[in-house]
Amino acid sequence: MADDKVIEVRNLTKKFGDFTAVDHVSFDVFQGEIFGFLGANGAGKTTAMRMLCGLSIPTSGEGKVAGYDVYRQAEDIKRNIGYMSQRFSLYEDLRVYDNMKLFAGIYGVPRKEIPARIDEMLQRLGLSEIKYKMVGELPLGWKQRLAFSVAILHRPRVIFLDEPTGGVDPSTRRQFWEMIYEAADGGITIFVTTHYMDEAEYCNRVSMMVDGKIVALDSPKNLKAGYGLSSMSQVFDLIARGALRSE
Amino acid sequence: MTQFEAFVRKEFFHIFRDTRTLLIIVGMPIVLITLFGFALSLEIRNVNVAIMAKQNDPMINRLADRINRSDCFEVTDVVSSEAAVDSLMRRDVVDAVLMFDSGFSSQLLRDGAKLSVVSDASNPLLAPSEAMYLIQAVNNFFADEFEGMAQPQAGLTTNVRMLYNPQLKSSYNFVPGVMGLILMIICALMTSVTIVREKESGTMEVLLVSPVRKLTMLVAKMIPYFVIATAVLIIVLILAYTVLKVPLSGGLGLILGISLLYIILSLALGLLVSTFTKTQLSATLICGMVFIVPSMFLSDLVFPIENFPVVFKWMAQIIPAKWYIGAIRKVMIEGVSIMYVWKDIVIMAAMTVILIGLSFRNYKERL
Amino acid sequence: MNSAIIYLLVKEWKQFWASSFLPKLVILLPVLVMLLMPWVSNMEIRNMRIAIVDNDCSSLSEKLMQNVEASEYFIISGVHRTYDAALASLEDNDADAVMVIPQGMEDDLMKGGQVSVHVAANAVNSLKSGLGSGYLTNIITSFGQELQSSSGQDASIPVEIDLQYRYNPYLDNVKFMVPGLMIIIVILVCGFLPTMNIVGEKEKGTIEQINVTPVKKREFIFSKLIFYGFMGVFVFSLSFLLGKLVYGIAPYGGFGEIFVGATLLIIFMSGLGLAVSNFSDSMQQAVFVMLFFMMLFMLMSGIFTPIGSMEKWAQALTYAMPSRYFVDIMRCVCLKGSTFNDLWFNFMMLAIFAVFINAVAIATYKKQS
Repeated sequence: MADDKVIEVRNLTKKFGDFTAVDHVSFDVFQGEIFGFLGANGAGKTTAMRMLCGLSIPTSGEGKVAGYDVYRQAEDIKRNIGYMSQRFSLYEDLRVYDNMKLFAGIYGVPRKEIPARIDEMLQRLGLSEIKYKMVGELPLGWKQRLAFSVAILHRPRVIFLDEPTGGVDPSTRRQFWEMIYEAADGGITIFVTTHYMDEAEYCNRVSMMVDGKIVALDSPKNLKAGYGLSSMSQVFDLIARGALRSE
Repeated sequence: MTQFEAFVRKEFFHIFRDTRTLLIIVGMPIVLITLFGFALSLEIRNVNVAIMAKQNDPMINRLADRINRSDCFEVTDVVSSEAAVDSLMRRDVVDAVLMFDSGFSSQLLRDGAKLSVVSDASNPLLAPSEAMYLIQAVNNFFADEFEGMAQPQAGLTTNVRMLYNPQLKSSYNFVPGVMGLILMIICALMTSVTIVREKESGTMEVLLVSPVRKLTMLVAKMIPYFVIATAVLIIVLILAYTVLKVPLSGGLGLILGISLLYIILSLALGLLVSTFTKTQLSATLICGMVFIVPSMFLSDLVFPIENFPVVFKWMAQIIPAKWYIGAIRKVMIEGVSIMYVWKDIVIMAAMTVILIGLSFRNYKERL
Repeated sequence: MNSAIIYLLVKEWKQFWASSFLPKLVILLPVLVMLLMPWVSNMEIRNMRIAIVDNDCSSLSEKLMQNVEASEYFIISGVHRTYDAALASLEDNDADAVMVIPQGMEDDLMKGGQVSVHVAANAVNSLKSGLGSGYLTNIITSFGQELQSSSGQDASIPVEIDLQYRYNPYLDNVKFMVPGLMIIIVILVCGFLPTMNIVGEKEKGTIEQINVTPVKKREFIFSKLIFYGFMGVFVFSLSFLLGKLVYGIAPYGGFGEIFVGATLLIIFMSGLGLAVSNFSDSMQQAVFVMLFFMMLFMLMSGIFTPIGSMEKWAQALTYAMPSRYFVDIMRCVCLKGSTFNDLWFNFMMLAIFAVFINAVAIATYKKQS
């Protein structure tokens, strides 16, 4: 497993003018892993993630996702990843089925396979009953599940989830994490940003970002043991105390 | 009042932070009014004339010369066949043709001759004027040619005076109209799109649950746009006076007063649109299409209302731009006093009150 | 065509029908504009109202007034005692011109003297006052000439001028305006819809979800262009059908010319919409910039007022308005039966603009920041 790096990042940096949003970040993510990307608001998580997804070009450093270079092979990366943005961004004026069909189609899922694959996905995630509902009419929790299903529909090697559970209640969040586990069991690598520290406990490994830099990277267990604390949120509080910038 | 001030300050901040939008909002009307002030015109100029004569004829050459020397005509082609005339007209390179029979001048001296003026009437607006001026030019030429032939002086002549616009400049007619059109669209579009944008993004709800009174909030929203529109108006008036040379005869006070009333009216219209639309798309389409088209066609901007069928005359009465354009034309160009435009002012004021009333009622119901 | 574009087209189609507003707009706008606006787009000069001050009160002045009234162009709005009273009625907008018949006109004319009739026209509308006073002058002069010829003095020049109004002998404004209205409809629909659609996707964030997919920027732009292109063609065809059925436009045919031209303009307008949305941060910006172009295209390409009447430099500027070429094409084909051969320059320019703006749209669409 250790050899199978899905994401390799070395000294990745992004500057907006004088502001360094992401500052020489390095880490690896392995196949099938749930990798938590933690940090306060404004720490640079989303910026880092957008670079890995090919939405934003790094200022310097190296990055490879699914074996492709983030500078030159952004389009190849896109074929192999799924992405769920912080803000719900599927088409609200289309039905659930239409959204799924659209994204399956543009990711190149063969036309004949699409209906079966969508049905299977809807069933697995318990979304069958809303198949023909207008997306705009769904409650947020359902929308997030739908966005997740769209992100994994084309069976990517890695999916990027940017604060996937913002704004929903704890039980909905727990349900969401069950889906994440299921996907990871299927071999998909999960790269997830969050600022809920209870969610950090669910990850295989977490990195903590402060002011654009990664200050800690290990499994939740090792991190807690290393700082001698009982929960991730205490760990995070300790680390984040040194932060200079917040939102 | 402090709450109100806070709100106004917030709105100003929103607008002035976004310099690019501000630049567009202020720059666009200025460019448009300047351009249209020069471009919108029904003056007769650059009329291309072709001459069709079967053979070379010195008298026709002299006539061509004479026509060429006049301000608005230019003889661009001399051809010898009907087919060539046809081609010239279908390619849209000449506007009128003088056609002479063969042996024109010799016949003329014998027992009178005929010449045809063929005018391209695909534009029925200018064709009559062009033809009239061209015939006048031809007549003048022959009058001079036959001066020797004891031409008796006409007993009855006219002495024409063009009031308010002695040089017959089209801009006197169009500049007030374009002001009406553009101020309306800018103001209505600005308010409706901003308010609906807040609805779309949900910030409106946040404001609505706060203890702010709706009235306070809506007025606060409109104040910055009123200020921008006023700035635009002042720039436009300066441009109209200095660059476009349109007079401001009726006094700046009255012109500003009427225009400010019209700005408020337009803002109110935008406000009303924002109450029944949910998306920026529909707000824009309603302001853009439902206002642009009627304001262009029914406001006396280009098409005179007196030519409308009666149903459309009634429809024109509810177009705010119609009242503004009518009043401001009279005040700016004719220089009349308030006595002659009070009716327009009262109607615009009434429209404003009704629109604002409707908007408030709608806001109570819909949100 | 590759499959991603097809999926994107299906998406546009479904979104279009999901909207409560767009399908109605696309039908109603052409229908309303085509059926209603020709009634009002009439700049013909007729019924010019004349206020008369008759200082002569003779049988001759009576006759002159009758001649004026008999003309199809004039209505006598009132006969006033003083010039000031007549002028007041002009200021009240009850009259368009004042005609003053001088005292002693009949006597002077009978004695063979010179008499001048004073005409003062409200020249705010310069076209109307110019033409109106011209016609009035003609009536008055020919009235004078009739008097002279009846008294045996023939003043006429031996030239007979015969005036023909070609292509539109009855000076029918509808024939002139209907092609222009069709162009206005295309400009409105293709100017607003694609821009608002793309900026809407930006604001809602859906464009970002597309940007992380392997869809190429070319494909995304083309899907919008094709969809709105077809919508434009539909709207234009509907307008054309109405124009043909209701007003009998384009009697000489030339459908090839009309539709090729329309398609080029539609491609240009949609491409412009996409390019503008690429440069805009917000819907408000995009809308204002598009509005700017649309106003330019509508008012500076000869739809309302002829290009030939503009200032020289403004005329030069119209060559930068793609719509101007299509206005020429429509008018020449519909009224004169011109063909590709006559109008090749216009088609070439339209095509150049269409290709150029779409290249800009593709080049400026950013998937990565």
